[in-house]
Amino acid sequence: MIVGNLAILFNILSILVLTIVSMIFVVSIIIKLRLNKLAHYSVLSRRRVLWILALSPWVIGILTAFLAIISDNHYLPLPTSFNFLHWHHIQEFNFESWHGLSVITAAIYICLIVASKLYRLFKKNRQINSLRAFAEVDESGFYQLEADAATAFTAGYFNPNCYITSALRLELTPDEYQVLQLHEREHARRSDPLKKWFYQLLTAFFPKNISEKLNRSMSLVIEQCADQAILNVVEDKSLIATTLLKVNRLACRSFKGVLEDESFCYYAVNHIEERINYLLIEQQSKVFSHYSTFLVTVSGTLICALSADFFHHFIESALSH
Amino acid sequence: MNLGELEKLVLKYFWQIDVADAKQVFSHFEQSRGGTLNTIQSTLDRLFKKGLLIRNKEGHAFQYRSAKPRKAFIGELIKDVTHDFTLDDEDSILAAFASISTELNEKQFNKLEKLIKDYRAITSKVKTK
Repeated sequence: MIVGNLAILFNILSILVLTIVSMIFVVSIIIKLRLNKLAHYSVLSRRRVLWILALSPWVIGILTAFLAIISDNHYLPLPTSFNFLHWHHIQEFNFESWHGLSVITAAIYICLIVASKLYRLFKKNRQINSLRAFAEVDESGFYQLEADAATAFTAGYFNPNCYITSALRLELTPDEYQVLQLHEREHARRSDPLKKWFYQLLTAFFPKNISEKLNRSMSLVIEQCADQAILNVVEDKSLIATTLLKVNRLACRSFKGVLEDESFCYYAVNHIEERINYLLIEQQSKVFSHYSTFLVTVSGTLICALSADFFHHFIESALSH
Repeated sequence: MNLGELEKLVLKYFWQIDVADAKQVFSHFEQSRGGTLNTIQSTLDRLFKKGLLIRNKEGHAFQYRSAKPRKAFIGELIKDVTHDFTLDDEDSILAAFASISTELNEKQFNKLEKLIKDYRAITSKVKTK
């Protein structure tokens, strides 16, 4: 058994783990029931909400742990203490208890997820480096790839670059190429590939169907944000929509046969339809305010902090201490 | 597919010429990169093992040539890189103008084209007013 400051630290970690797990459970239910409602909000609001949903278990977990530290003067020598978060036997920690088990399990799980995501990042980075080595940079800084497949994308994490294949370049008019360039440059400017990777790291802790929903929604929002950026230069929304449809048609032709999953096609259809509909029709959308964000975070933290002791006692009663 | 810097250069060289042995490759890179004949030989061997070069023994030396044309090879690299956004879990870490996983049928294309056409008609009416 560990006694003293180290025990307090491990107990705080235990509170952090329990809060994160509880928040993942609560947020998953909210996503399952309410994520579809998000479609009525503006693209910027949706982006904000999606980040909040993915980050909330961690942010609220850390805030609750922080409250536990300063509450009752457990760990930091603060002059005033407020004893509303109680965790009995905080001075003692046993790795063979359920606290120890939860901390060890969480540590192993987090390490595994982070390691697998990092491995994926480095693997993809190597592939992108190889691709870049065989590309020619054009006058506008786009990497031209000599290939028959018609596609364009932005890749790279710390220094993202835009790629377009010769097959697609040949099919585009100067106006359409400008639309595509503006879209891809926005991805590069905002470091979207790195953000996507980080978002997928956060959502990897949710159940698979929930993380898929979140990743799909974020993917759509990222593309829509880049679509919106084009509007700062190109006023003709129909040109953007036409280019989107044309590139999609060419890309589908190139990769026909690669895709076999019908259910995914259905989703993807919505993806393109949503982008075009949002561009042409649904510009007047609801906005999610900063005030609501703040309120949700504070109330979530307080609920978690206040219920920590109740939850603790509940489990200890079940395990007969 | 992971390729070292020298491997990429050697591959590019083979897309420009037809056939070469290790000595010819070495003499090509000797001035620009330096290095030794051994380094070139092991690079050619690695590219052969990766299936990117083919070789035939003529006399005492291997004659190497590219196994795939440039376009086909780059096409495969693109497939590798974009593989994750052809999967059904939307676990892509790339940002693409139009996801290649998006497969619309003709009916759906026509529906969207009509939407764009209607939008154009409405906006041109508003402009003329």
